[in-house]
Amino acid sequence: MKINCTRLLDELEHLKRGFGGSPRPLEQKLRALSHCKFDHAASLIRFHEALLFFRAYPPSAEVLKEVEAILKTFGQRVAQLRDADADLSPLDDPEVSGITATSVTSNFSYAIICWLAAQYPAQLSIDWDWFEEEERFARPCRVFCHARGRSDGRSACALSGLFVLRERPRE
Amino acid sequence: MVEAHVPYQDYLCSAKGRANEVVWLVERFKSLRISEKEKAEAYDALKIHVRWQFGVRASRTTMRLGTRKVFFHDRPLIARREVSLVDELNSPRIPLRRYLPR
Repeated sequence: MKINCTRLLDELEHLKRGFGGSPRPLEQKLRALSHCKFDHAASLIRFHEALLFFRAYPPSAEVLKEVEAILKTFGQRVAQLRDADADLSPLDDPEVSGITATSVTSNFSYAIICWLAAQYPAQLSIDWDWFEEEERFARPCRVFCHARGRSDGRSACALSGLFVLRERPRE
Repeated sequence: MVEAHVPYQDYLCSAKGRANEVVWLVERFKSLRISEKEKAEAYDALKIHVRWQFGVRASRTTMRLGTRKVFFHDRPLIARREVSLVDELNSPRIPLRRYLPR
């Protein structure tokens, strides 16, 4: 990132506190920043958050149009960072997560995972790197499962209990 | 019987077939005839970290409620001295609309 892009970003953030003036300086900053390439996740995040602010509180139709045009480039901007082997871990911070072309990893609650599975079934995967204790699967097995011992081509799973979940008799 | 180092990950991969592993697992829990609270407790005990690789429309970058009229904030913010509580309390009530949970 060139030094003037850093300065432009500072000035853009400063303009967030400047309601009521002419939108012209903001429009000029946005046009200039649209040509900037950010090579650090932290700068890209700052740019993203400032743009979201001006999309929420646009002082003019021109600003809104410019902001939305820049936001559409963020998928490409994130991809460029990834291709450059930049540290993308700041993008995972819950405070700023949700930027396009990134992901969120969490131990979502049962209610949320049911909603996600219904809404976005193709976008979910288990992050096994986080799963240090595979034996955790044993607990719900013990609590809820009785192996059926059926032979349906998935014999390994039939033995595991968890994967042949049966209802527990009502007490 | 307790067996150490049971390869649950391998079992899961084998059992789910071509289905998404998270969706498949959730369906197994949903199929149980136990209370929602018990299902939640059993699932939460797994402490599975799930990665959501969301699409463009679900990202904060482009997520936006459609509106017919955009409010353009082209005036200075109201200063505290410009706010009169008496006037505000005597002004017409702000219309409220109740939204039911989906």
